[in-house]
Amino acid sequence: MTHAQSLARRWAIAACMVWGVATAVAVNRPLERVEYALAAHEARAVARAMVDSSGRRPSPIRRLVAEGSLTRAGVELSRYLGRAVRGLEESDRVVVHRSWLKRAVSVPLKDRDEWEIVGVVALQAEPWRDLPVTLLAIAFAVLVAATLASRGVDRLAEDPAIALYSVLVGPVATLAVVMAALTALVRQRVEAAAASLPPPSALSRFDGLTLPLPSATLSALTLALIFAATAAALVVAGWAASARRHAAERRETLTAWAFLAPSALHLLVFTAGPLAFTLFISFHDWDLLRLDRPFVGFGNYAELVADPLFWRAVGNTAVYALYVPVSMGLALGAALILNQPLRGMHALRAIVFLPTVVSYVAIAIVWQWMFNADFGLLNVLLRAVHLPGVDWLGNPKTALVALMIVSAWVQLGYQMVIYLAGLQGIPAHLIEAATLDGASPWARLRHITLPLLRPVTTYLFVTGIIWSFQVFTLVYVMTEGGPVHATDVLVYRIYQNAWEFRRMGYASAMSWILFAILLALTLLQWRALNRTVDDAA
Amino acid sequence: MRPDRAGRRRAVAGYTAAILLASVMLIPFLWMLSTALMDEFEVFQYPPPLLPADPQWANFPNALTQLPFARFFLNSGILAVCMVLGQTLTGALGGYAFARFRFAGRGAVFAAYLGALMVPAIVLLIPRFLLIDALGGVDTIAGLVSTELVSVWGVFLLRQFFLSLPRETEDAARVDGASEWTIFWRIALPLARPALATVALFSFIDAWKSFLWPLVVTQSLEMRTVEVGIASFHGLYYANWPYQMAAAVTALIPVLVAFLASQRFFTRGIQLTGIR
Repeated sequence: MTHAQSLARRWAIAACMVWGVATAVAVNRPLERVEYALAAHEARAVARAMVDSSGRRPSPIRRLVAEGSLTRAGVELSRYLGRAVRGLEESDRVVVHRSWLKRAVSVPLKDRDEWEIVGVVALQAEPWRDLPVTLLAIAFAVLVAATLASRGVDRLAEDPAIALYSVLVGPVATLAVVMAALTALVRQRVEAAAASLPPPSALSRFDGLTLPLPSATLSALTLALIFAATAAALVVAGWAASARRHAAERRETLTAWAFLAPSALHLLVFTAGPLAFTLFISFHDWDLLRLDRPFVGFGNYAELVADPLFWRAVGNTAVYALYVPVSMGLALGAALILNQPLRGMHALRAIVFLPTVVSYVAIAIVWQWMFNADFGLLNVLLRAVHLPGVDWLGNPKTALVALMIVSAWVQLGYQMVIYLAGLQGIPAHLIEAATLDGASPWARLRHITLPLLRPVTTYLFVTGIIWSFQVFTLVYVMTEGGPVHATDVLVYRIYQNAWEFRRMGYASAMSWILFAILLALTLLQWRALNRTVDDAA
Repeated sequence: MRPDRAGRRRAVAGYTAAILLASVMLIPFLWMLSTALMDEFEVFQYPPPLLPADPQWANFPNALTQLPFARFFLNSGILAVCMVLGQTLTGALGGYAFARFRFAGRGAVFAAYLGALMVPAIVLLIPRFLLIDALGGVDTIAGLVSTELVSVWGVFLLRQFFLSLPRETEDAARVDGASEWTIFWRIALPLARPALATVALFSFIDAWKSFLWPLVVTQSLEMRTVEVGIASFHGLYYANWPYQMAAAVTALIPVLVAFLASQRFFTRGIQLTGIR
């Protein structure tokens, strides 16, 4: 790297730092308390306008606020109240701020009896009260990060063509660090400000008036995407520059990436991003309808460990998963039956496979009818052979068993198809040789077929367990987790916490625990499969 | 020893076992159909009749007009078409890239795709919902569809398939100066038709069966899909089993037709990716 380039990079870093400080100064405003007095009936009207009766679908005003169209929301509110309203215009810095750097909280202002809403209090955090100390800390962090980044890049930059790119990496890294630090600080201050607000009981009474900040989420997201895109572009540029001498190689890479772009971008936005986001959420007390989403660290996880219903769900899910070996045994039998070289077997296989492909909800409904205590087909058959009927879904002792029966019936076809593939992969001469040696069919099954099917069995077992841990539709349609939590499984608890109790953070923590369990199972499967392959070899 | 007689006996035993098995598997479906045709109160006789005394074909139109089922079918249809087109196209593009090109970052990206395959849908449910909510997509077709347009499974299946195809024709075309896109679109893609059909069918089934995502991302009745629609129908007409069964039978039909028309692709798809 030439002296000029290294100088240019240092200047760029310095410029970014100046920019960071300038931003910091620009947002350095004192904590403001703005009160908007409204007549009592107006305040009620506002409250009504903010949340409609169902509480689920945002009212027009709320939607406008959420979209960041504060001026239009203000107009709408004025129309609603029949007079001009201050306080919903952007210049007022009330209720919601569009900028990701500014975060505000608002609470209803009540009369002396804490009964009527008479106004709205808005507080804006002032992030830079302890400016010198904070600034020094930021500057230090930025310097360290920038140095580290440029060192790393220097090593990459053997090729002079890459140097241009390496000049840019430092500043971008700096920017990212500054942005992250700014966001963290602003966040911290807002939470401190929120803590100074009226007590939570009063807050929750007027839940509807505390507005969420979706626009802030959106701009943070946009920002993150811009940074990711910039970083990716830099990596690509650097690579393209370094590979300048191998035009064919570069062309092939560009073509490949063009082909990959649709799925890769989709995975980035809808899988990788959300995965990180849900981890972030799991460390917060995250309610869809509330403005403050305080950071609680491992609070959600600690609460989970102490939550008997969570453990109940874990236990139920584990018991439920026991249907897998049962249906696998049946599937192996079905595969042996349907593997006979006879005409018409294709059609019969299709019938056995049918439950796997058709509508799960329809299956759940018909089985619920068949499990009916009085008129269900199962109990009719039981009584026909003089056995007592069972209240399958109404009895906490049998409800989970009933779900397991349905799942076994559904999964049987899939497992059978896999077993069939396994059976057809067994060399015919092995079976023939054993037959010539006088081995009985049972001995052939035990000593030839089953050992050779072991990789298939392992695969089916682990994937079956993984799927069974994600059961939802059956529970939702047939039992809703009941009776008395007897069929409350993990995914159903996650759904209930997130959408019925609106505890997104808690539900996210739960889903991460489920993810960890499934990941462990997958790793086990890999190890088991490798071992069986080694054994076979 | 008379092999033909022993063979015939074995065949009889085999058929008996197989037909017995198939009929056990069929019973719930037959019961569904039979109940769907019964009178509302006929089902509450004891012992319940196995077949309707007087088939009530009117149950179907009556049940299906209680809720906007036409709309449900339209929504499911749109979801299915978008998923089929999106997943086969992105799958073919991605699979082709992994199978045919050597490029910078291939190992890392392939590992990332493999990782994405392991992320269970439930972990993504909440953040995807919040993302779609932030983008204003809740309760819209765009929000329902957008998260489902790529299937990593499809990418892998098509990669496997492209790897199994010979490269000679493609190389010949390359020598003749055809562009990479032309080679992909004119040569590789037509050869991959069976695998594309497999991916398309699985996307169709997935679209039709998907439940949890449509349940959370749609809120109004007009935006529900068939699966969510019959689930809410189930909640509303809890005591009317014939109506519920009629709705359930109707919901089964599209997938049933798709499955019966193309059964061989299913087993192939499962066997191609089920075991590696």
